Amino acid sequence: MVRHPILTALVSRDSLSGLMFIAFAAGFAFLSRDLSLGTALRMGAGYFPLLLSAVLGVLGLVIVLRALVAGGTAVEGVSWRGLALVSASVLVFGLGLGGLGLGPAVAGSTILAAMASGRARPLGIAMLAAFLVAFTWLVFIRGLGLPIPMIGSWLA
Amino acid sequence: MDILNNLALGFATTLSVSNLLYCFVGALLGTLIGVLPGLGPVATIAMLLPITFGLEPVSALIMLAGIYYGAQYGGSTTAILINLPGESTSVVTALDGYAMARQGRAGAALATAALGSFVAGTIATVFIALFAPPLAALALQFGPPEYFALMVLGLIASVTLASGSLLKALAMIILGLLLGLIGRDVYTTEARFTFGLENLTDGLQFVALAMGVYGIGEIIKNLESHEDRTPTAAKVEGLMLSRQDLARITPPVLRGTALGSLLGILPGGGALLSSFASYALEKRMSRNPAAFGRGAIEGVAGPESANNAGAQSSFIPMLTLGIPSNPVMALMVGALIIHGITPGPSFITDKPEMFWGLVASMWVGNLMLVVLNLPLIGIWVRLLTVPYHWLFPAIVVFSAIGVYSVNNSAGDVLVMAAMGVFGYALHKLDCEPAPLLLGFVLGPMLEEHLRRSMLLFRGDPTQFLTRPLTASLLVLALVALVVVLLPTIGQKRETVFRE
Amino acid sequence: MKLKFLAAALLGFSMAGPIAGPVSAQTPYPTKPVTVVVPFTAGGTADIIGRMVAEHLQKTLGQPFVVENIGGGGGVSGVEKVVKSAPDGSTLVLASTSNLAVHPTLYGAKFPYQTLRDLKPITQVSVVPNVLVVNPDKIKARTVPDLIAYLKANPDKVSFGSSGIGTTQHLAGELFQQRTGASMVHIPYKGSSAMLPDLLAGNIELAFDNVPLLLPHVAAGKLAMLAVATPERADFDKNIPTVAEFVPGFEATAWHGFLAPAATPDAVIAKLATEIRAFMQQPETVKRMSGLGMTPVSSMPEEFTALIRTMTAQWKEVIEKGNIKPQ
Repeated sequence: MVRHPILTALVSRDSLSGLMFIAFAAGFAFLSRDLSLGTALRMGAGYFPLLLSAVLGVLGLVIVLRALVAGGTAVEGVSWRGLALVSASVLVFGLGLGGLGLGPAVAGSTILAAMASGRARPLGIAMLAAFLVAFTWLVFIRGLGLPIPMIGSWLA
Repeated sequence: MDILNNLALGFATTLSVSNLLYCFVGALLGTLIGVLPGLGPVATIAMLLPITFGLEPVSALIMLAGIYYGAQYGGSTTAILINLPGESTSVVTALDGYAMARQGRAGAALATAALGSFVAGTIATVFIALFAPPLAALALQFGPPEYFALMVLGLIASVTLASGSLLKALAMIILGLLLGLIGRDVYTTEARFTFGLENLTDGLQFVALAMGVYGIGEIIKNLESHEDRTPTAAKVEGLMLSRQDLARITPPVLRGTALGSLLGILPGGGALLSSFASYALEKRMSRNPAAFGRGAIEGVAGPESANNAGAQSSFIPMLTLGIPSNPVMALMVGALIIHGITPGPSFITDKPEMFWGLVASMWVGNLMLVVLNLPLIGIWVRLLTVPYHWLFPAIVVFSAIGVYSVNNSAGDVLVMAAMGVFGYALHKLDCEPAPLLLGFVLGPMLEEHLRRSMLLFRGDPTQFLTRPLTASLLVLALVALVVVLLPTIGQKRETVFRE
Repeated sequence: MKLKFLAAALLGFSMAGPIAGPVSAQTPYPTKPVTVVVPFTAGGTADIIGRMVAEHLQKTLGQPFVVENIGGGGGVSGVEKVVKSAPDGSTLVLASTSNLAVHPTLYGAKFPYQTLRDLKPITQVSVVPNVLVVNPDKIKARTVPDLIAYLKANPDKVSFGSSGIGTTQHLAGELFQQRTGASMVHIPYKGSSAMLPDLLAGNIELAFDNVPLLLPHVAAGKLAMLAVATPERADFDKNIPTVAEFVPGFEATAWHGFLAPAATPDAVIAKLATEIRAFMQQPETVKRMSGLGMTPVSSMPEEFTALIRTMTAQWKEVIEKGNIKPQ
């Protein structure tokens, strides 16, 4: 597939990072709209963030422009599987800890994470999950006495 | 000499069998807590507080101090081995420490951290013994305008944390500053950028941000490759330091110690700046700055020493003014107060055995930590030979529990998930996260001190220049800016020429 | 808590396990572990009280009482969690003046709880007196009337520090201005210990603050203590007058107390109140609390309810008069 060089440059690492900075700048500036601005002498809550957003926006723009002129390396080899499964693993832990308790949350989180490598076999994953459940129970609940239930209210 | 008598009194207190035991228990617990990612000394000390009610105050203090610096030791271990910094100071250690580990030099990095910390701890102990009272007075010279100027200087220096594009590093600092502003505004109580979530009104939690961007991001990145070796176990060689290594780390350790001892006195974020400052300094002084970020041993030695020296000297404002510089110190003040002892200007004269006992115990504790940690290095390094597909799910789980335990907040775990994705995106876009983290830490302080200064000046900015210390720090910041920009302007010409 | 056992074992001394206390026949409470939410980060004075009381309740009531620090949003997240939890006595909160009598007013309609609608008071446990201190180099006044005269002659010249907007330290300053007609500039900090260096160095000149950390500096002559903000003179020094002797009705103290979700059965509340009040009256507790600069209190649930009502009204007036509101 032949792409226009400008297009290639636009999706290069440098240019995309510049666009990301611009997006953050716009987002923060937008969210600052309801904050009190004050004056330079008596600054409100919105003054400093708005100032920073402006600087960030300009920096982002310069980064994009330079990338368009200079070209750049493309983003490739994204490990979508790793990204999805590892984030899901942390999310499951965060969302499930309260209701499921430490045991099931650790097991679920371990299984999801372990599937990300595509290397571990089901039996191995199950053994790892069992080991980590036992280990975390020993260290965090028995040893350190963290106030987390082993089995949560959804299951009890 | 007075100082010898004082130290003799201190060692007499510390070297009692029971106090040695408390010191050891503290250091050991601290190391164990520190090695568990995200699990900080604050929670540990809080849980131990009721026990300390029953102890002699000096023993209680010695044990709590042991936990504190033990945890600092343990924290750098995870930063080096698996790129998982549990606190702001270990972010710097992770830069070159983890790079060294990837080259199979994890053992050397850990040994450098341990030895550097010990030397720094020893020198800082003597430093405290000699200068504690006058230094406390110095700390009071720093008001809001001085802190503001110091933060500006720190931010400019932090550009050196990145080894790639200067522009991107600058943008990352600004983005970090912005992320740091999330939460309730100190001056107006307006909630900023919280999307109405109570969870965010105290700001993004540092541990969730750092462990997400570094630890989780790194795991996703490693899953790209099809190799199953733990990336840091490529080749494990040289568990100990060569004579050449020792020669290389000596000057950075000494410089880091000096920086840390001085900055640590400032209760408003000095100790925090010291490891960043040391890294910037070493990179600036190095004949080969390009090696930084790619496993320069100086980049581990300097910051680790600065960090430990800073941790020691931050006891000065606590003991002589009753001003804790971090939550751990606040807990220690609490433990003292419950015994009816309030640290303050007359603490040293009223309770000499306690003050000097604590000073002596710091040195003893540091010695114990070295003895404890050097043999452990072999075990840590061997841990890395576990196949990666077994190791990383465990890291994910431990990180999640650690982040949760800081505030007992499930929301913080979700923040870590988001930050993991963000960290991976940063990696794919060639954006280095270290400046972002420094910006994040300094952002709220920078704004707070700026706005407080303007309130104190009743809106007259020229007063920044009428305070000599502020003015000189600002001039120094300007010089630093020029020094940072000069070589890159030259480089820019080069790049343009090449294209 | 298990860490304690680990540490205790390492230290080689034994700790007695929970001893089952007398459980009344009518109220089989507690039948399961109880969470005591402390809506502050670990280690503050509130946390220390919470842990002392939890340890006592665990011993006498025979179930684990686990302290959980939920420090988000100035304590809002912690209190909110208790409001939303089951009203069976299995979740309690140890909250402060700001949580109970200030925040619901300060943060307005969108605030997630209303104290007396959503919570049932058990007992107040402490009073933390604030004192009025000045930097002696910057302000020559050594009595409250002199100070008021000085402030009136120099409007907005003096800065007063506080440990944050909506804390009793801040509201004390506002109340003082409103009642005396003096005018100062308020400088908020994140907590007292961040403010103290600026007060000692004279960057700010005046503050109302809790006693313990200030006393050594007063003793060393680095700070001058003009008055206490309690209705009566304080135990630690009867020579120090109260602000109220010069500004009638002036009171600005912080206090802590235990509460449970609003629908918790009265029998459970009564049982907890009895146990906690008994503990607060023990000589050892009194000694510890005064070490922390607090006066232990043991009030009946009705008295605590009345206190919350009165103080909410007082601070509401100050907040509205001073226009202290998030925009």
